[in-house]
Amino acid sequence: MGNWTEDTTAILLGFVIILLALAAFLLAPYSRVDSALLSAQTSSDFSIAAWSADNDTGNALTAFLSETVNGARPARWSVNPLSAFSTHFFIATLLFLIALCVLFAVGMVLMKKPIAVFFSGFVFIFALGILAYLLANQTEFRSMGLGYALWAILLGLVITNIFGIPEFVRPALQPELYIKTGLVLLGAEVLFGKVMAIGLPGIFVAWIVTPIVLISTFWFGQKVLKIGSKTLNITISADMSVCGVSAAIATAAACKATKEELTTAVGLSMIFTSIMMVALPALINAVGMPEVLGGAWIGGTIDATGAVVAAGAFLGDTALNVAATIKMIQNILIGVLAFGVAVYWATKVDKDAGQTVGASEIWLRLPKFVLGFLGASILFSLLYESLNPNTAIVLVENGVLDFTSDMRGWLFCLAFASIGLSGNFRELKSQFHGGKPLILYVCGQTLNLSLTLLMAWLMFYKVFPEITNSL
Amino acid sequence: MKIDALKTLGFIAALIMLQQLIAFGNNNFPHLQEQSSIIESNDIDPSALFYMESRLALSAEKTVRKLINE
Repeated sequence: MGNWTEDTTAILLGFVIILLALAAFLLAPYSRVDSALLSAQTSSDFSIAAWSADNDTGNALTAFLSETVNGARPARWSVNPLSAFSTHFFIATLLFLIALCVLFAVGMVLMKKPIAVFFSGFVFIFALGILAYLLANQTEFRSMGLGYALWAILLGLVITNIFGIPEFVRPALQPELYIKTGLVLLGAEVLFGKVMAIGLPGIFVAWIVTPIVLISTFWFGQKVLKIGSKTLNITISADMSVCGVSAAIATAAACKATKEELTTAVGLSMIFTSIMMVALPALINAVGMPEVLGGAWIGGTIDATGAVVAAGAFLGDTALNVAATIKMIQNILIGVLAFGVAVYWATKVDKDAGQTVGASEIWLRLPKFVLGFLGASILFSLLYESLNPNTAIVLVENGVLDFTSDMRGWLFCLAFASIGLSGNFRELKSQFHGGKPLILYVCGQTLNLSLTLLMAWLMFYKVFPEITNSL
Repeated sequence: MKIDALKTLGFIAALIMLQQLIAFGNNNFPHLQEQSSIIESNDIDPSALFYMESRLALSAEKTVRKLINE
């Protein structure tokens, strides 16, 4: 066996999950579903949503896989947390835990790390993940968008800072491995064909404003606020300007930010997302802003997709559609962002003064998981575009990617639980010295709000009003 | 040991207070009340990180494409 690093192991494990999903959700049912769709879509009143609801496209294997991954998460609850658990939950949890243990045991063997001591610690982290999902599924917490990422970090931090890390957990604290495997799966969800969903106005609002805000905020952090850590600066700038937690994870991994820096960025993003999800639609309503403009503003500025949908839905269907589509286009930018940050760090930041960095040095320094991330993105973008559009929706979007995104959620949850368990409040507090991260986020978001509103108004009302009229 | 138990109870109490605070807001402020009822009735998950986790986001994109192409 060669030298398997966390990056190469993450790529392997990520693609094992992807190949399993492709075999079960795409290859097995392909010919049956594709021919059924080809004949059904000739009908004038064909609707893919109605067809999907009426036809079961899965099989025993896909049902087993979906129910195992989904069933391991506690159900929603309001008052009594015990109501979130069922017999099905315990069976699914056991099966899913065994599957994850096998998967990561392979990873630990490849990385030449001891596996006998890995399992008990992994079970502990997995249990913490279940608790994080339990809190995220509480009615009130869910309504405010307080998701598993926040709870996993918080629970880990609380346990470590009250009781200390149990020794048997340490071998399983592999946040980098969990995050990078999750990022390879996230790459599969980045479908470049979605970029043109709303035409050129979407490109201008999501792909022109966002990089301007990202670069300006990074510059502001370095030159004006003089933030000592470039990695903290870029991670906060990316999560604020692109798409919140997922952008923070990808950027932090690409520039090798510390666990405390990622925690700071994620915490800021989740708190401001909850506030903006409530405040922005209220402001838009108060000033009587048109739905398309309000939707585009929400889509370009609120961090998380779920919060964008919730805020857009408050204004109406048109606002929801525009907001979610703009956010989707912005989400795609995450691939370019991760690659750009990794290359920038390899060529400009991680080098000595006066040193010239050649192609071979860039290759050596580049975090290799980025290649897995981009490879998965390119593979799925090509696959999605090469299939009959309705087959792609049914088998890839609602099948393969539905499964891999659930798996990715679990991997991020395990990563955040590990990050919480290996962090401490004192180090986290030191990140906020002088309130600079908070000032950076607020100033960057103010610029984001201003530029996005201006660009959305220009694009949807002055340059392409015909698109606005058709929505 | 006693301090650890108190800290743990403090954390659980803080969680319950946060939940009660949000419930109070959702029940007493019209804007929050309306938003939480929209979230509930449309089965929206506001914590979804990426578009593939949101059924509504995926269907919004298809609706927008259809409207623009018509």
